Amino acid sequence: MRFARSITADVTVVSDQPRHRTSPPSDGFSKRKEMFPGLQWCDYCEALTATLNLSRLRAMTMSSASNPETRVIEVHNLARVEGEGSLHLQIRGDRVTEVKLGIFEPPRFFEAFLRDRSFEEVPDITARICGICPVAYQMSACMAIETAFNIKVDGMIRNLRRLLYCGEWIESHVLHMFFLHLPDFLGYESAISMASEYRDLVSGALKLKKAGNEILRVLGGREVHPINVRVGGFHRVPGRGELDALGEELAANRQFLVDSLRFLASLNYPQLEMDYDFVALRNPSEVAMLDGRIATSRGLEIPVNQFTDHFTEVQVPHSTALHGHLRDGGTYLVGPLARLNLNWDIYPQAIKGFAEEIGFSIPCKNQFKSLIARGIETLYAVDHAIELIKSYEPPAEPAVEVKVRAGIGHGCTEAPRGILYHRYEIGPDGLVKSATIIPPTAQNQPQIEADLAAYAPRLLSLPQEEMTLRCEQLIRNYDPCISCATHFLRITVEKD
Amino acid sequence: MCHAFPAHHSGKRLTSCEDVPKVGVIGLGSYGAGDDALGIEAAKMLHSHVAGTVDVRTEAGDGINITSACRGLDALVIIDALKPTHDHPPGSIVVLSYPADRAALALTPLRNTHSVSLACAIALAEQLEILPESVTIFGMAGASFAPGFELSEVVKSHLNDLVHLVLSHLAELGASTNTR
Repeated sequence: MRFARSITADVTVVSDQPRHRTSPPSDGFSKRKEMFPGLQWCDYCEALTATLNLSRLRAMTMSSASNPETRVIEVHNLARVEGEGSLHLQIRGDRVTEVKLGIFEPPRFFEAFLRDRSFEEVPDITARICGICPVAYQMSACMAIETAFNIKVDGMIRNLRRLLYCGEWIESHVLHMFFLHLPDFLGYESAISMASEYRDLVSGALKLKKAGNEILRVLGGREVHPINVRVGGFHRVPGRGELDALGEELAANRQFLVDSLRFLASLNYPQLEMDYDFVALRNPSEVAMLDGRIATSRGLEIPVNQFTDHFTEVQVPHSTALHGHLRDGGTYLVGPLARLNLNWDIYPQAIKGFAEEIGFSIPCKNQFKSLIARGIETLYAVDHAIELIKSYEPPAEPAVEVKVRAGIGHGCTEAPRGILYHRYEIGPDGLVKSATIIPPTAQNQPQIEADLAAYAPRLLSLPQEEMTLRCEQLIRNYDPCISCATHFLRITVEKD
Repeated sequence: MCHAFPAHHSGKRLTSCEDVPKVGVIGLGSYGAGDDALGIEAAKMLHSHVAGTVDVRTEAGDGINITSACRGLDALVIIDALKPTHDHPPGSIVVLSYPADRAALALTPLRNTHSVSLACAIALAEQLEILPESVTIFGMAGASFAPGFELSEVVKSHLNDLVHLVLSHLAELGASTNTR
């Protein structure tokens, strides 16, 4: 497949020219100009995106501080990230003196209102934390509670869980790759403004995402916030042949993914190599999704129940989400790039060969290339899902028997954005006594700030607007899901 | 029943009499949040009238599916719940067409980037040149969207009006309906 236009030479790593392409205005554009005459429209985007851009343009302040040696970048509302976040970056000379990824999304208190709920409700409640990765929340919750109850789920039920997870990786990764992240690399304000020139790419991505969504619909009962998952397995499992259509749809879209990965690999990527401490699940027998040991690129390898012995969370004034750190204070990276770096030996030879063919190699310490890493993981998820569907035999029961007992359980699974840790203390009556949920975006926040501190000094020759966009692009490397990250704010009330 | 906007459909048939236009109806919403489910309920009621001639579906989550659903359609009809306002009390019906009411549609609530909004889905379809020639949005103001509740009585009592309005629109488009 040849896409509408291959990457052009004017999209360069560092350019002095504004990056946003302009599209011809239309009636809608004129109408909005009349409505908001004071605005300088940098691009024509449709309907809602115009609203999005409007708020962003209003919010973005690109000022120099009184000291001419000081540059301040403020983005009050980050675009194309999920949730409400901001960026404050201060540079004196060639030194970054302050970097704050602000998260001001209101806290959501999920951990608090899980208390005194039945364990049976936990998968459905935690699924509500995120509309794009609900399966991850359900799986981490189930794994943790099953550990507390000493339940082992394997065989076809486990395979169905992996299939469900493949669906989530596909739909989440495709959304971010093609609709949120790729516009940065092609110089567009949004996927909508990109769509007219890259029609095949956007159309293909829509179909592929739909194939992922379809897995969630069939196995989960619906595409968003699935309702068919329970502790011990599923409420209902599909019959023989019910999954065949899913396999056909995935197979039909595979070639698009391969072609688009070739295209993505041909893009120009900023050269920002960081000495990351990668953290991911590792399972020697398979690409880890549901379980395994938590491994780091510094050589740590621990069982999931020791997570809090080595990792901690701290509150910072500028974020309603806790920041994840190593106990020694270091930052770390979770997500697709971490997973590939730590599990590349487990990957099928066909995928490793394809990666080599398109010039993607491991180790890779450039988080801008997380775009390709997501694509590689998507390819794995497509192939693995097809294998799981082919080998599917309906289990005798949709779930294993659950015997309630008091206990503490830990679960950690690989959400699209990285490891998602859950811990539950369950009472003898099956009610949740305490809950801890540590999502990937919270863990990545300090690393995002570290990346910005390293990257910003390289951008000093750029105009302020361009520099701001580059910093936003870096944040989008992480596909941050701020809504996920803000459900656990610790609030301390001080009274005299 | 209050029509905040006059319907923009002018009775224009999209195809010749010999050709039945391909029309899709999507009811948006989700159960468990009060009147948010009215789009789904209306779509279910419509289904019995147009089964086999009009593709009626429901959509609870990802707006991107709306973009995908546009492919190959001559006309798209969306049914969704609206938040009530002073001018549009619960039970009011609002009819918008695209692109005529583009500006009004742009004021629909901004959803997060991980779940594409109706306006964004339509805009994307337009850019991909798969947007049907006719796009009409039928909205009804709800009374309550509280979690754990069913449709409010006021919405239930106006749902038939909404369905018949959509059926009239489908008939004007030339889609075969059974208005029993």
